Amino acid sequence: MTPKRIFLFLTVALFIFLGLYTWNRKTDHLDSAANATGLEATGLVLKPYHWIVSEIKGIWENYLDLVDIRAENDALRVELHEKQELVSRLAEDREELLRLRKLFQFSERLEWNKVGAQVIGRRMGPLAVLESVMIDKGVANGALPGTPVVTYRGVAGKVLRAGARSSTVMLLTNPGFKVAVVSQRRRVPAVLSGGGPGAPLEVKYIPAHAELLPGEMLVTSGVDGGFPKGVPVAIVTSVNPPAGNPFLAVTAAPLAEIDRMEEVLLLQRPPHSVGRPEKPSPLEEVETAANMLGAE
Amino acid sequence: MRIRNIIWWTAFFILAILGQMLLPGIDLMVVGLIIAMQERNPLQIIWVLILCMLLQEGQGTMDFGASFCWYGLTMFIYYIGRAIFETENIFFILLVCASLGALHFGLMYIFSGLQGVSVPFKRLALESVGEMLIVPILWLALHRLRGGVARHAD
Repeated sequence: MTPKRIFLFLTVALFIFLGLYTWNRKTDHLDSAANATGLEATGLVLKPYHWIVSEIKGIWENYLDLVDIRAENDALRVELHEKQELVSRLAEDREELLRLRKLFQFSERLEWNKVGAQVIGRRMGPLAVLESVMIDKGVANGALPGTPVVTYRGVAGKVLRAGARSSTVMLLTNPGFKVAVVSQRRRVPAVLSGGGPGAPLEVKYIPAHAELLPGEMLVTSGVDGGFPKGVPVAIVTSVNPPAGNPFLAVTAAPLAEIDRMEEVLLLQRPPHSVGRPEKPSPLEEVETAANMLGAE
Repeated sequence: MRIRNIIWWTAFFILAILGQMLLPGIDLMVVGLIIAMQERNPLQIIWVLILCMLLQEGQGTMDFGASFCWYGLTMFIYYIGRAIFETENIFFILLVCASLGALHFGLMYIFSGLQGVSVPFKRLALESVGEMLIVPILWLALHRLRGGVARHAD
């Protein structure tokens, strides 16, 4: 191969690449084709593998690993009694809340549908640069790009790419992941974003005077429309004074066990509310306005 | 012979997908492409290349295009190396694998930067070293499994 031919080959390849890249950025055709073929084929291989592994694991756990079951049962029974007590107290609070909502004419909160999914793979291949997992639900099961993904503990991420029956979930720990949150007790609004693999989450835009302490829980505020309101997200781990800007430097730890989760829930918006963010309550609007005035 | 070939490639891609699940960030399918190039069957090279690209793009989290550069430059390195060495020469194998490791690092760094994604430097470096070390071992193992087809092709 002469240098002239090499140069010609590289030039042609570069033009083909730029053409394909630009065309795909505009139309998404190639990404859709990769989702429909590559992602689906990967799902087809991983699902049976995952099934076999979980069956073997199940046999082990059900029949062989019976040590300490009695002690565990006793501990669980005690925990169950505690939880039952808590549930009955919360039921009372809920009734009171419903009465107050009615009294103040608050709009009824819409329930998002939940669809269970199994994690069948984690970050795969050289092009999986984002922290991600693969799940066994796709467009056919309502897992559209942007669909919130949670565990029983809290927010885990959102669907990034979806094939027909498999999809890729971008995890909460990615720097590109952002969700509007509010602190549970003091109702301080903020934006939470990932800090990268192994790094704490970053909580941004909290005014310097805001009352926020480590240990407080952050829940979704619902104002961005991407997540329903009130889903637990993270626990504040550190609050430091601002360094050269008007906002506090706050970090948090995710509640969901991102590295170990095996099952997740997809939250699907109620059909008649598509594209409409949840409206904050009048009280929250007043609090948000007060916070903003305070920041000024 | 054709059915045997199809079964071989099907098994290869299934195992490569499972392998990639166990070794995040590392491309094992590139070994299949190298073997296809060693066998010098243009049709086989094309469909192995297309399958590799679709699978990697489907599993990946970047916009379509990085696999085009990754496999395109792998082929380029292979053919340049082949013009200098014989394909079974140990220097050829080491040259291609070292280049693949460097290429992995450079390309992923550039592409993630272009798409505004920050990739941890240490993780990327480790994956590149992993790519550099795993590819020659797999290459030699699979080359033997294929029954030395490439030996005759040379």
